[in-house]
Amino acid sequence: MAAVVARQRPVRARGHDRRQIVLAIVVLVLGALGAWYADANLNGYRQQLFILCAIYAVVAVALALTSGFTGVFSLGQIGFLAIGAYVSALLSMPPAGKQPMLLPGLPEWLATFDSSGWHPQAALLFASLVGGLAAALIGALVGAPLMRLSGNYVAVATMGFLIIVHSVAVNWDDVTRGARGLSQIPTSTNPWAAYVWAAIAVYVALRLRNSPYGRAMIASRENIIASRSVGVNVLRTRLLAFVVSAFLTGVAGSLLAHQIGTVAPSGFYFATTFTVVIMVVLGGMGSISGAVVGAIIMTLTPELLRPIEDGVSLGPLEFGALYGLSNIIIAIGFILVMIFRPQGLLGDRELGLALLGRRTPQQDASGEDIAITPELVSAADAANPDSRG
Amino acid sequence: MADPGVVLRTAGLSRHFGGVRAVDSVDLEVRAGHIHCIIGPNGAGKSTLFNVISGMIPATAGRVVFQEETITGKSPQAISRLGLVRSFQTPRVFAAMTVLDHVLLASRERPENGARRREALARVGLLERGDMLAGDLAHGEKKRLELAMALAMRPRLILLDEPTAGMNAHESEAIAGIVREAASTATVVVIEHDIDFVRGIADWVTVLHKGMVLREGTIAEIEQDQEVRRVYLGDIG
Repeated sequence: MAAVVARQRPVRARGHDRRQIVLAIVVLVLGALGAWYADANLNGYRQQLFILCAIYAVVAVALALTSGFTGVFSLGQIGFLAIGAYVSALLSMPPAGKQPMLLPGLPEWLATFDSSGWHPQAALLFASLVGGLAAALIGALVGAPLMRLSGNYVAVATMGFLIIVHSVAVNWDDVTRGARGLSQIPTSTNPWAAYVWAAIAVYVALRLRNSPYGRAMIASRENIIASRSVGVNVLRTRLLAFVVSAFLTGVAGSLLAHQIGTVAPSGFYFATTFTVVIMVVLGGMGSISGAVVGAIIMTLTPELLRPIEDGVSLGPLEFGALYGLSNIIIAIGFILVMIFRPQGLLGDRELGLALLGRRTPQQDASGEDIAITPELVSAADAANPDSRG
Repeated sequence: MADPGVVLRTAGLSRHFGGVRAVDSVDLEVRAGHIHCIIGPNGAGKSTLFNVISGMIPATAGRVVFQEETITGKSPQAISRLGLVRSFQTPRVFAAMTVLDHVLLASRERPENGARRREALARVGLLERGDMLAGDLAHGEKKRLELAMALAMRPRLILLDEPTAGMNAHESEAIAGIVREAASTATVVVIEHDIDFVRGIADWVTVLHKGMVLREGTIAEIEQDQEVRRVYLGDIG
């Protein structure tokens, strides 16, 4: 038996590795083709749908990082989306839109900061990075106490964070313009920018999961006591996931603000929170590609179903306007998935692109096949009575 | 003056739960390179002693010294990183992780090195199970995976809580071989009820009873002791 394993394993590992690379390249190229097609050929509405799918993929992947990997169920994710959106908006708005008459609470350096002379994509990148970093900083401050909690407590506490962010956005009129929100944000998010950030989010999440930190995250999710006994610092592990997740969500907030050109508190509250939670639960809590699939389904389905709300004719049957029907259909679909596939569409598994960062179990991370020496085989046989004979 | 041959020492170590003295002023010395077995009836405080030593629960009184460093009050992860690792009575593996990922987690090896995880898996006979999910392993294999994780951490001291619980004689024999081999690189403390197993591996035996040390000695001395026979060995003999 041992000899058979020694002969077969390297061959299988190399083949598996090649398939991973090919799959990753195929999916990346397909995504790039999609971005190119959306940029060059789609009309404004469909192009915006493509961008929205990519932005929500970033948010869903970020939430999967926290909730799926570490088991810390965060309901505050959209708070980071808001922080990223507002911070980046204040950076990108032209000084004319930030005059003291409109936003008297802004510091002078921010009120006069002007990136309108930059290349639009350079300005967007700068605003997105700063928005992401601001969200990550707040994430570190909030996460330090909250990541000590578990289960329902952390869900409620992170929801408290969302309520605080929303209240600040509504009431800090001198900086956020309250419920009216900010406008005059350059609409520079194009399909390429959204696609590249979605690809980065997926890559970062996959690399992280297959790193020692990722293993520590999953171990702490599975069994806190056992993970601590093998040296896992549960608080630090959870905090890392939370901060990375906050950064990616902050970047997504920036992309969103620069897609629609305005930000208002109403777009960053419970409705968006539950939509993103459904994306992750639908795709599979432990799956990065599942989060992407969930984001695409939850973004496109309402748009695809919207026409039936205006009335449908099925042969001789005529149905009048049925407003809200698309939401009801989506809800029923979600309930059915939870009944028949409670682990979500993909569970803990990954689609092809996810294999990009996945180490073949039989291989060293360096890519070298494990050398199964005669000494190792005899040690294994001696220790495992079932393998004898 | 500390004895350099002692790797672990407890002094007046106690853990009380309300009025229950689960561990009561235990003074223990574990000598480097020994396989030190701890036996005693159910409720004697053996697992609680492990929990206190490994930092899982705080001590009510007393202290634990590991390699001349007081570790009382340190976190479990800090203690394990000092080289004191443990397994649990009921195997606590991570169901959604592969066998190989368990050993990777424990070994913290740099990507270019694979020696420790290969060696650890081979030593417990799980080399062929590397890509299986731990949740799909049989009970005995989960116990061995815990051992592999402990070995992969290159510990100075391993605490094993009933490593043969739920195993047949054949499997217990294999575990005894693994423990003996582990003792070539680390000191091992084993809680065990299977007296045949203890007889086969122990250099030194401590008998706990009602949270206190009842006797210490070689297995031959312990088996001859009338008090030990009365409170424990008589029951299981």
